Amino acid sequence: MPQSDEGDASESSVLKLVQGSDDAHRFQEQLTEAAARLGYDDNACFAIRLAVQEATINAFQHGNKNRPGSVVSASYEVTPERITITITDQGDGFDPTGVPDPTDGERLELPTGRGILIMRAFMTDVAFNKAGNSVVLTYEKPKQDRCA
Amino acid sequence: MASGESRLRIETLDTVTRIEFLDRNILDEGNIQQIGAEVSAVIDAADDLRMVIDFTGVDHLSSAALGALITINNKIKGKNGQLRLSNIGAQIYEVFVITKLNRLFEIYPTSDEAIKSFT
Repeated sequence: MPQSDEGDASESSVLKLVQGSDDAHRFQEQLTEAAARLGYDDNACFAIRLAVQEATINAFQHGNKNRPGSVVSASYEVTPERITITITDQGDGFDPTGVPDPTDGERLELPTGRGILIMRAFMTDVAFNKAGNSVVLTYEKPKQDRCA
Repeated sequence: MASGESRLRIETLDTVTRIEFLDRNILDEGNIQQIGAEVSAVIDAADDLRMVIDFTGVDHLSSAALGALITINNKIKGKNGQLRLSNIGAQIYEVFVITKLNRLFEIYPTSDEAIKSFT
């Protein structure tokens, strides 16, 4: 269930996403609604939805190998300054540094392999744990109003 | 979730097949597979195909949707056809730029301009 803290204007939630269910979609909706309430604009919500989509697809497909009934753990914390999302699968993990650049040469015409590139492009930071089965996505709100 | 209903609006304008998406979000794996199958059926049924895929009304797409577009493009090229994309919004266009797929696809601001571009 989503948690809201009026004192420090933050919202958070932890969900178990089950393979083959609508849970991942509901998680995205919950997250982007919380972000909108805390002042994140349409571009931020687009970026967050896209990155979370890629992270959950990777978790289900590559981490859990699409096993029926397998679970991905998902959580978020939204504050006025930043959004932190953690997606963890039940797999053995992988080495993110070993993923080839999908924009290189003939790889450009391959239909897969763009998820991590997209996450890195749209998030402020993308950090995998040592095992490689959990990723933390961080989006920081642009400081447009900061004094020079 | 995927359903049996078509997820596309397909029309033939003179010698050009124009396709629009009925979904605002092209994210779900099942829907993307269905879209790929529907477009493949159109490609299989035609020779010298000239196709415009128009993104009017599309708000979100995933890397799986980009993969489906690449597969469609390869299939059309394999039959000596031509593919154009049109009406891609600024946010989605940024995804094409980041992935450098704006270099792979011929992208036009409107479907009219895409249709006029065919040789």
